[in-house]
Amino acid sequence: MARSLLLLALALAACDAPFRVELPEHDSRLVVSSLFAADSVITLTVGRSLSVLDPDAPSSDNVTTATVSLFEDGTPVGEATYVPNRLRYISSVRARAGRTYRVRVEAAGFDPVEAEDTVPLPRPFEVAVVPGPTPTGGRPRVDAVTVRFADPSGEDFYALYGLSERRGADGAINQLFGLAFSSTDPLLTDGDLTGLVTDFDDPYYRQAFFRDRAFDGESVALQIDVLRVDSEAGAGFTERLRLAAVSETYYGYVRARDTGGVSTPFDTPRALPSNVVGGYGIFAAFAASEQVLPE
Amino acid sequence: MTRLALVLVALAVGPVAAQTVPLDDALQDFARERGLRLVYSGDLVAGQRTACPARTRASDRPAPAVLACLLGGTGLEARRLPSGTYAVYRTAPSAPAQRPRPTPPAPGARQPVTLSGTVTDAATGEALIGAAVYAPDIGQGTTTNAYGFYSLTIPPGRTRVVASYVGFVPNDVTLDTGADRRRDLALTAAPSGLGEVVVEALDGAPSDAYASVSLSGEDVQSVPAVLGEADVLKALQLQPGVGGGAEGTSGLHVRGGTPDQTLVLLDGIPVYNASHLFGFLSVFNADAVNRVELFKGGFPARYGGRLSSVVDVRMREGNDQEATRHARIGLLSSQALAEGPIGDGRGSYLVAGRRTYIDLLAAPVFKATGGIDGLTPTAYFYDLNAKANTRVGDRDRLYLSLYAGRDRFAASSTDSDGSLASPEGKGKGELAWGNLTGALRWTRPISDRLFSATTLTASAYGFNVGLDSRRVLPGETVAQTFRSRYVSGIRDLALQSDLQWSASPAHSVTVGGSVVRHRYAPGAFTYDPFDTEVETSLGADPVRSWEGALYVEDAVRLGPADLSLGLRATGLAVGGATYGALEPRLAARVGVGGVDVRGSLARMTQYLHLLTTVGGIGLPADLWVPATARVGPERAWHLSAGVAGEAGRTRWSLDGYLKTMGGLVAYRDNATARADTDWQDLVTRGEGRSVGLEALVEHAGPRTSVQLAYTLAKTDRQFDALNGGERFPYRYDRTHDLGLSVRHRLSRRLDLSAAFLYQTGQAITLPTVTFFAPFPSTDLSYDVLPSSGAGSGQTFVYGPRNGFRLPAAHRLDVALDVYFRRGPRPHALSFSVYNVYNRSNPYYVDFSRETDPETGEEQTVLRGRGLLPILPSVSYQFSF
Repeated sequence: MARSLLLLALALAACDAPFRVELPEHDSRLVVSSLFAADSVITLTVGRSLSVLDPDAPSSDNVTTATVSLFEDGTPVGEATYVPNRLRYISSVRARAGRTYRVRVEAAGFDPVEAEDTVPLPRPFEVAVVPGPTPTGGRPRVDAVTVRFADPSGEDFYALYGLSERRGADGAINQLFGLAFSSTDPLLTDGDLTGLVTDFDDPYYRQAFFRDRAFDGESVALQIDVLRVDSEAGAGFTERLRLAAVSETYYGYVRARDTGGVSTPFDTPRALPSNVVGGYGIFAAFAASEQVLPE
Repeated sequence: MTRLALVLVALAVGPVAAQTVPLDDALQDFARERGLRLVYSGDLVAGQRTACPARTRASDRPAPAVLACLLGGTGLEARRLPSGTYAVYRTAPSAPAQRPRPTPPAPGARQPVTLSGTVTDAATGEALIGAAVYAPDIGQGTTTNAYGFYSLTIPPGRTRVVASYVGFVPNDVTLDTGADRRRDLALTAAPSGLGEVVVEALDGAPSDAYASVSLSGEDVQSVPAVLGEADVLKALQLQPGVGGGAEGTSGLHVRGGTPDQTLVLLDGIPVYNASHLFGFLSVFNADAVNRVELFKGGFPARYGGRLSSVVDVRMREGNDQEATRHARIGLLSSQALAEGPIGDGRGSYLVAGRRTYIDLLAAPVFKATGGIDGLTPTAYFYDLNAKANTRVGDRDRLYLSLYAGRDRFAASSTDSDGSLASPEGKGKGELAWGNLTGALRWTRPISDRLFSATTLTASAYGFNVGLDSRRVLPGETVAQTFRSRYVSGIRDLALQSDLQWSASPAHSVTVGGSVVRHRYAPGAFTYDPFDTEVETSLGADPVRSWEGALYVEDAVRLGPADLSLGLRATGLAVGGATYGALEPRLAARVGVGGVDVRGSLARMTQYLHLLTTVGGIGLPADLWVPATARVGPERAWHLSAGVAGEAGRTRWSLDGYLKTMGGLVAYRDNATARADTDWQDLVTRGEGRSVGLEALVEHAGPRTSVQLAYTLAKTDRQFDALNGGERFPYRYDRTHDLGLSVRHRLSRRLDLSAAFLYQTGQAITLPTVTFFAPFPSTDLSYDVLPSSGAGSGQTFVYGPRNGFRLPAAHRLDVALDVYFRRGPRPHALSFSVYNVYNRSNPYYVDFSRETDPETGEEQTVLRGRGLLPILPSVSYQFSF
């Protein structure tokens, strides 16, 4: 909000002029984007980088002629092929928890790139729900939810998020949106570069990324307040809470994309981490567990 | 021209016998031509004549040499006093060129006595800070302290004492110190109109061995006004080594330091954010300023808690002779000042307030037009200074000082445009910040040589960012409301005591101590979403700390050298952690052949940090946080050396400095302040260094004064966790920084002034590479993955930190002041133009897709967004 107000102040008074700045030459590189889950098929997109002053920048054109090879624990397990109507490369490789996957991408005119990540083990968890008081005026109910799980020793990274879904008569999901919740639990909000992914214009969070510095190797009970779907409008909805173990690469990438910006004096420039050697982007894995919240 | 005429006359008449002229006239002519402050007793020069050739009198030889010529054979000599004033004394018969040395009294001889008192403005009773008090017959002198107090040791018996101050007629009295050891001296203002900018860089008082800059209220007023408002910080930014960051930002960047590294004091009370309107103006009402002193290098031991510099602003105490009213009406704001005596002149009061009113003027326009893109903005600031003082008994004096100021910028919306409101709702957002300070001070001359000041102060700074929205969703009858507040601030409660002992005119000792309780609220976010009962406070726990300091300063004059030796011991207790530091402060000044050679070495410790965004641009919403067990204090060494002198009417100085800083704090990459995250997790620590060369040339002519300041500097930072551990430039690393100010008296009623600034463009961090980064779904099913709200979009890869430069920043401001009288009261009209040639100095930059007008092709350009275009203004001031 402060930024919006300040920018408004600038807009009211600003005078501007273009100027030239000498930027280093940039040779376009391949950009790999893949966030894959345990027990899911690995897919990815392949794009290209450009100088910020390039007239074509940013290019959303995919590189569609690349050769994409996948390896599991160092062993070739297949290739991914470009599927035009999905705008992505799709493989037949289903990621398995605890395994390390490597991707190698080659395309004419670009240096080849490689990336690697290990699929975390899922973290089973339990939930205990204390329904909040019945609100008046059609407002949603707020339930106190306890999320219990055992954190293994060692540095671990997590994402907590929820889904509200409603299925049609055919059983297919026809409505889906993120579950909103809030928390002041220090276990969730404490630690290095952790915290809820927030937006001050939105009081509720859709995801919280955190690390285990405050509870490494311990059994932990996180307290959150979940905004339940309105009982009348929400008929037929199923609300699920998910706890995902994410790789450090995943965690760093999401955090970096959540913060900072460009071109305003109020933002910290993002140092976007990348595990794509020779190029840009991300190739990172997660493993989610799920619990349905009782109505 | 005068010199040329004299030469021509000399050539025309050829060699002639030396002619004499009245010494009084010659001295006065010389002082006027040189713009010198020269004081002497009329009976000293009565009937005296000088044989000094006119050619010498009109030459550009150093003032001491010309004065020696003028006084040759008269039995008189001139000496330069600590304030820069030249005083004429009777030459001692036995050692005419040397100051009498104190000798042990002979048995039975009477002991020297100490004369003390205050020096004030006779018209207003205002204390005159830094006024000279001297005994011309014996060659002893001193200067007044921050409360106008002086202490002078002289022989017993009848002694002539002269008090002088720039812009005032000297007060020359003869006292019988056998019975009269306390004497307050009042000076009458000289009828010369407004003064000129006087820089006390050459002060030679023992306690001023540090290279400080001293500005009077009139000096501040003489700098071209901005929107009709003379400004203290804008005046200081014309000094070498002092930068103001980018337009639209607050704070001073002194010798490569960050804004938080400058201790800004208002009557001895720290002010944490000294800016109004995002730095466009400072919080100091120039009409109420008595004196401003800037220490930009090492500073005396009585100051502490910051690494880089001190700005000590002393506000006026008020007129204790008569009640007066003063007002100034400008385009941007208006202000009023009232002052007068309390209790038959035992004290005085001063109340000054100002407020902008562009919000009041614009409101009807926005209401009629629907605002700007559906948004109705409003902005204002106000401040209020109130002071009162009274004498209690013969010696004690109590001072009460209050300041309150607030800025508020807000926007409201009643339609669907913008982010402030939801469909069919309305919203309001605001950013507000302000300072509130108060001080109760008790001063007492404990003896004629010992002066004490004890001060209880309270200071609070805070800002809040608020959002209120209300919406009625389609089909709903009950409005949903949302309120949020993000607040942060710092509160101090402090007690300080200082004792100043004047051992002799050449030796003074000051000791003191202080204890401060800080209360930091680094950021708390509360919200009330949809009227639920959810706990909605984050980061609300304040942090408290205790900071203490003890100091001693010993200022002594040894022959031609002034020495200031100081030591400051500081400590901090915060949480379970304690810190301590010993800070030596050394300064020396030696007069060598008419040139002052000076140097200082100082150690400083800072127990608080200001967390800014990567640019460090000094927004009101930056966070003040304490040193903690995890994030310790900042420390610095500052070495400075220089020379200063004068030639004719021109004074000059050249100073070099080296400053090393450790324990600096900066946000890590990808970290920004969030209420739900401990700030200590977001920062990393590093070091900085700053080296520079500063040149200052001042010319004070009879009608024209010119000041040229130039700084060549380099400032960088090194953080292991930033920029790959490589050194990078500080954002406001200005290789070249030039300030030129000119003031010319067109007539008795017209003053024209101009100020030009040029600075190397600030260092910025820019993205160099971009790509489109989609967030793919996990598989081919309809699912959601933990991807946060980032979504897909353009992604940037940044180049080296602060590795690029904005274009150079420069601008010219001019002002014309017209003085006139209506009845007995003075009036003035000020016309000013800020940024005369409408230079767009970038405040920030962004990339913009534009069509090349020549080729018609799309291109990406880097566009600098400036904040302040040409701004003409007029103000009218009057007394009533």
